[in-house]
Amino acid sequence: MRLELGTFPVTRLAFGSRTGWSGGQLTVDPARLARLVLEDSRIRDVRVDLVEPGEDARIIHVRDVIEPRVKVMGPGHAYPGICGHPPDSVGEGVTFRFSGLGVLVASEVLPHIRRAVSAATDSLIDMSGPGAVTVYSTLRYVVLTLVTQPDLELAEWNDGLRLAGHRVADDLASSLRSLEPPERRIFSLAPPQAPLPRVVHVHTLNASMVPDIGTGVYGFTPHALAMLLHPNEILDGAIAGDMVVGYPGKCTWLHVNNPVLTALYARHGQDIEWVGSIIARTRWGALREKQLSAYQTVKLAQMLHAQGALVTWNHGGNDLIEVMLTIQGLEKAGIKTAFLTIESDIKVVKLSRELAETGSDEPPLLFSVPEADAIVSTGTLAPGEVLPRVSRVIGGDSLVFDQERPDARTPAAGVLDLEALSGAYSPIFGHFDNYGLGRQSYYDY
Amino acid sequence: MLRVGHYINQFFAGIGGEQSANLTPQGRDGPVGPGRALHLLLKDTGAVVSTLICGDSFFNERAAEARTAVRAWMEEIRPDLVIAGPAFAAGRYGVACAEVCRQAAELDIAAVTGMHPENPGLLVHKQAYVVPTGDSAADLARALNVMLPLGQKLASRVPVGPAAVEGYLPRGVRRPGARGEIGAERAIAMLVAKLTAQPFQTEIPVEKYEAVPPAPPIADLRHATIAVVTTGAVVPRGNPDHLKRCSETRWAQYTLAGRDRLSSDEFECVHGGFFNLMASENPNLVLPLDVLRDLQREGKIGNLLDTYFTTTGNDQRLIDCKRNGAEIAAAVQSAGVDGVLLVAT
Repeated sequence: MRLELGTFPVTRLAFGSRTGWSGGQLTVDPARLARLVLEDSRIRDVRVDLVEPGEDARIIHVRDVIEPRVKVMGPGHAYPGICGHPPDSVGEGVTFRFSGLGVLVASEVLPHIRRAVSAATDSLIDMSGPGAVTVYSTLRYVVLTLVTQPDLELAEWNDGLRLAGHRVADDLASSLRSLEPPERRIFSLAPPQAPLPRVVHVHTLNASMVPDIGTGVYGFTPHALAMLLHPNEILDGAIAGDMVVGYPGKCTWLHVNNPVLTALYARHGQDIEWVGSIIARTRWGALREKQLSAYQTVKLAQMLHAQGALVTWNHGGNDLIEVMLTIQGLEKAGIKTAFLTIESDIKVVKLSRELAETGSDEPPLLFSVPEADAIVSTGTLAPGEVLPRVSRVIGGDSLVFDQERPDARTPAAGVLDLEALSGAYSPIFGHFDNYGLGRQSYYDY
Repeated sequence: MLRVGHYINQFFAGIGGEQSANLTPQGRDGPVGPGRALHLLLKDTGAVVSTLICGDSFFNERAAEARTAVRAWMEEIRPDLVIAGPAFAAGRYGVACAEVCRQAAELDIAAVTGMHPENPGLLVHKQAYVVPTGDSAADLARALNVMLPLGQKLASRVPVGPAAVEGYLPRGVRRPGARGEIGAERAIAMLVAKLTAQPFQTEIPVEKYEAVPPAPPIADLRHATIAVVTTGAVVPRGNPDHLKRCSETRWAQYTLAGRDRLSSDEFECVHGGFFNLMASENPNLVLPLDVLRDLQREGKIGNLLDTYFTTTGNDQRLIDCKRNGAEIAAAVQSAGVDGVLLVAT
């Protein structure tokens, strides 16, 4: 499987009457995008904003970020299996993309959905200042602030928002078709000249216990046993998030920009042979299911003759049980593992020394096995200070920090002391670095 | 001038081996035994002003007296730095050295010891600065050469760097800090090192679990008062105390009086860590009042406390878990309860 990615870096955004990219500037026609979005009767209103890094701005009610990608050659559609895109296997041919750009869908959670799904939290992105701690503060955005019909059921709400976001992303990416990309790169898992250690990426992904939502693989969200993906499928958008769950590791932009894939490709043919990514779903309901999923994942790795496994996960909480059972099984099968993880049990919202420092009172991992002897920690991205007042707010005007008190609203433009307002869960979009984009970590003292 | 106090056992003081292990604590002016090497290392920056010697058996069998003697010695000498041992693989000596470090910490005096990574003394005072050593005195010179600079740094109140950088054993404290490469690249580099038998160091050492000793069994359930505690966040419908679906810091108590079972008209489940629809439709699945009432009627349990206790066992900080547990235990105890049915979710 051979995929050529053509990249168009975006360094400026502007409104104009003709959508198109030229010399780093992306011109966006807001009326055209609004018309496109409003073709879906589930969307009552849309506002289009452009936001740049470094602005004194805060984006709120972030539901997902999508990097526009388009297939210009080869089978299937970028982001397959969702929004009416066919489920044909992708990862072959030529795909064009914008770098440094996201279509950001912002929409306030409907009250009945907030009641039903606790993970449908409010989130925010600060584009400058002490809150600009994640990769999402470094992107340029076409923000769609959407108002939906108020009575949409969960699945319809998710689908409506997602369709709006992907329609706009498709429209922007389609404008690239006839252009020559400034950067081209070929991705393939060509067999190495001489034998190298065979490495599999065990790419565990949370599956939601709430039906119809969560991270999907070709749009398929339910719990399922392990499957094998070629990394090029992931680069073509085979893993995509929903518009409901606020958890950092499900963002659609993140999965096509996953630094683990980049790092593995950089090593392939140099000191390892990468044999693919096993997708194993996590957060099963019963221990037997957790065990079965782990054991089948291990078996698949053995059948691939893997000698090493790089294990990642994208969630928190009890998902770690099946992740650790998988690591244990791999090691017992003689497959050496390294595990890339957030410090899952550190609930740091503001980086005061007292809260950031952990000891034997607060172990960094909720659950572990003795076989997990090679772990890389991506630490915490909590800001060190309160978030200051901002002059521009996009996506709404107020935030709910406690799902049980939806009437307690905080004005979004003001000073936000996240520790006081939000307790143990950060509302900063992408506040966990599940895939190691940054250098932050923890040290033993 | 750095004033150093040195703690050693009877063996290293040259007094004797096991036959002298009951030696009572005694101070000597200046360096003794390995303290002489320490004294030389200090050159003109300081001096070993006093040495406290104690028998290993005495320290372990008459711990309170030993602690008092250590404290009195430190209060009298007022050292800027205490060096204990190193104890190498000697278990009782290691326990004594760790205890000396604890006493120093309580008096806000910098302290360093050295021991083999498997010395049981490591379990005594986890916060102690312990330089890893070999299992015998053959490693003395090398160990002192690491212990003293670390101690000097601690005594001068200069911030001490990570364990791996400064050469001490992890103290169960983790602090944020940046590393040279991004996480994804470090992960694949660590895997390649492991695959090619090169050295690597995990960034999260996996800790053993704390064992909780179980309470003694109830002799006769038929006369026991039982309470129900659940981390399943079963609350009166409407969630009057706004118990959070995750990351809760509190617990709550509600009444079961006059009820035979929990109805979904009156109760609901607000736990956000699992798909809780079934539990909200039938809260007895999480808080089995229906079955407990049957057992009560059949005389299999004596009495059921009219109050139940709940919190949300989902993404709770351990510090909150521990406090909630202690507070619920105290409430249950003061209600005269003999046993608790703890329903986890």
